[in-house]
Amino acid sequence: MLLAAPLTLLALFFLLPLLTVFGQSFAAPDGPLGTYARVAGDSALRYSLIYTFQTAAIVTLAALVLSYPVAFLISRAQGRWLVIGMVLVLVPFWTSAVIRSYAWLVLLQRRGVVNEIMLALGLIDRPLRLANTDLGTHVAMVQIMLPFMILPLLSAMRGIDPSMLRAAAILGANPWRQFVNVYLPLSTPGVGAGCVLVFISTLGFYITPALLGGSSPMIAVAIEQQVSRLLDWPLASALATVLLVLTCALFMLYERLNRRLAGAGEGR
Amino acid sequence: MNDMSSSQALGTFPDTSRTRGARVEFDRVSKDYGELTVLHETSLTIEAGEFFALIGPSGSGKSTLLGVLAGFVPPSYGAVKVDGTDIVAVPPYRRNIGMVFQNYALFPHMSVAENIGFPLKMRGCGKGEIAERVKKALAMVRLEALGERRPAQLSGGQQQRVALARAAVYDPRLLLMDEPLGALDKNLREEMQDEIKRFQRAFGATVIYVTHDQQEAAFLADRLAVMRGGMLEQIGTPRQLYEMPGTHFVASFLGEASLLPVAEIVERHGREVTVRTQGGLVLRALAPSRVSERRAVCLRPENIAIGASARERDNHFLGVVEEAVFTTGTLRYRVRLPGTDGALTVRVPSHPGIELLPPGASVDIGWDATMAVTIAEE
Repeated sequence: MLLAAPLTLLALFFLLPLLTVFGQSFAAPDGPLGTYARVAGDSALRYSLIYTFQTAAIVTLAALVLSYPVAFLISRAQGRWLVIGMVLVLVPFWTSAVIRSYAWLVLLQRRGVVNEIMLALGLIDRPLRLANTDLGTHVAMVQIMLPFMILPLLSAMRGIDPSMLRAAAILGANPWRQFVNVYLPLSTPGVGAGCVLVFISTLGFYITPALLGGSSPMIAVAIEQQVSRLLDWPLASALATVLLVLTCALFMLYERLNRRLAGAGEGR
Repeated sequence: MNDMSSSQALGTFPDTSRTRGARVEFDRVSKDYGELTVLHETSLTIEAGEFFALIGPSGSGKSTLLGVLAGFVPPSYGAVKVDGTDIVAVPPYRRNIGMVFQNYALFPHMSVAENIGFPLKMRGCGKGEIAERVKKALAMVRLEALGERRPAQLSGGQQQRVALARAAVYDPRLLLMDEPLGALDKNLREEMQDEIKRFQRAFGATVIYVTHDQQEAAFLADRLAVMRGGMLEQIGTPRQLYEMPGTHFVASFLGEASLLPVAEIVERHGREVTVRTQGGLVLRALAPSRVSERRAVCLRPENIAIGASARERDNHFLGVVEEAVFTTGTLRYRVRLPGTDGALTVRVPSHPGIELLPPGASVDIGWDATMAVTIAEE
């Protein structure tokens, strides 16, 4: 009974539209699988898919590398420093991605803040092209994704018993081995959760790549183009379905991997 | 001995057998965090091969002292010497000290065998050597069959034994134990106490054992130090501390004690004094050399005789039973003496031939001069 209302809501506003999209992807004039054939045959669309996964991988990796030390510092902080650290993570997290994307556009455009400062300092003679490049888009996406990486890492790190590192130290592990042999393995649940969260969120990134551009449209941008410019709903639906299926497949792979690791933890 | 200690650097291994314990010296060590002093200037020497217990309530500084020795807590002042060498500047991972933590601190992502092998791996031992020594260590704590399990799959007592094996597998000459039995239930704790004692005898290392359980400390340790408020209150053998406590705190921290505040010292004769208590009783007691203005006479409940035999004692009074209870094996009385505020606790062995006196009954109680000791009253 308690579940009836949320289930109805989900069915009406999530499952139903999803099924509609799924159904629509087969509604092409050239036969039920025509749209999928077109996706497979269109090299630009194929590349867009590859580019999307590639971008997600880069963003995930960059976010992980940047977030790990930040999360570590916050996990060790106390009192005022802990509050400052959390505020610095949460305020951007609570700020709309649209606003942050526009902010990046302001920063990175031809006459943007970054270029103006570098010109004023004499570091460059002419403004650099920062917006509409892969680099610019990646930087912006990484920044937007950071909290999704930091928060799971932080939760895993705060769960690590501080006596673990003391034990490692007294048993003869120098700081590097304390990290590699004890701290890193104990923080992997956070690494896994953060990476999955960022990777999957990045796969569906729309507003930031739409504003900042890049060498190829992300798949979400491509879908939007099919709908609003080409009015090709079946093709857009097919692309969305492909993205959804690939995402689900990846997630299941992660779950299986996770369970196998946890299974090893239960004893062999 | 000194040669041994200098060659005891990381990576070198004396043979498992016959490594003697290290001598530990705290030389005017103190620790403060800004305004807060958690350890006042403390000097303490622990002899090679000694089983030494630090006891005291939480916040008394015993864990700080242990942390300073392990290298987790840098002292604000003073030197910590192991076999004569100051180790304050040596990081924990180069101290070659074994340690058992209160919550065991076993690595949850490693098997039992990997946990025990960890210190050997850190010392660059080969796979074959590690396997062999881990096997030996597992046999020593009787967990041969559980090497492949994860710590979470073991009982508390088994985890405790793994922690012990892990701390001992690299033959440290100094083994620190921070409330190692704190998380176990009473029966298991007693069983493990036997095991730890047997283990230390076989192993020969110096053991420094932190606990708040005075019975455990008295059972295990050769000597103990009672700590209070970041200071050493008294050091001695368990028997010395129990029978000749220097202060009220030590007297009541170790076992039960009744105190009679002293008004004046009437007469001194050798080790004994005759005193008048604040209640006006005149009695004889032992007077240890420690001098203090405010004194009390400390009495252990099992040293006070009750009934007819009390009349032959050096100190003999007529009291009134305030409270009488049977606890397993003993009859426990609270007896009020004329003119005193509090009552004395008296414990006599119970048997079917003895009558439990009712409250309100008048009773002879007495004790010899050597059974009471004057202590400092704070």
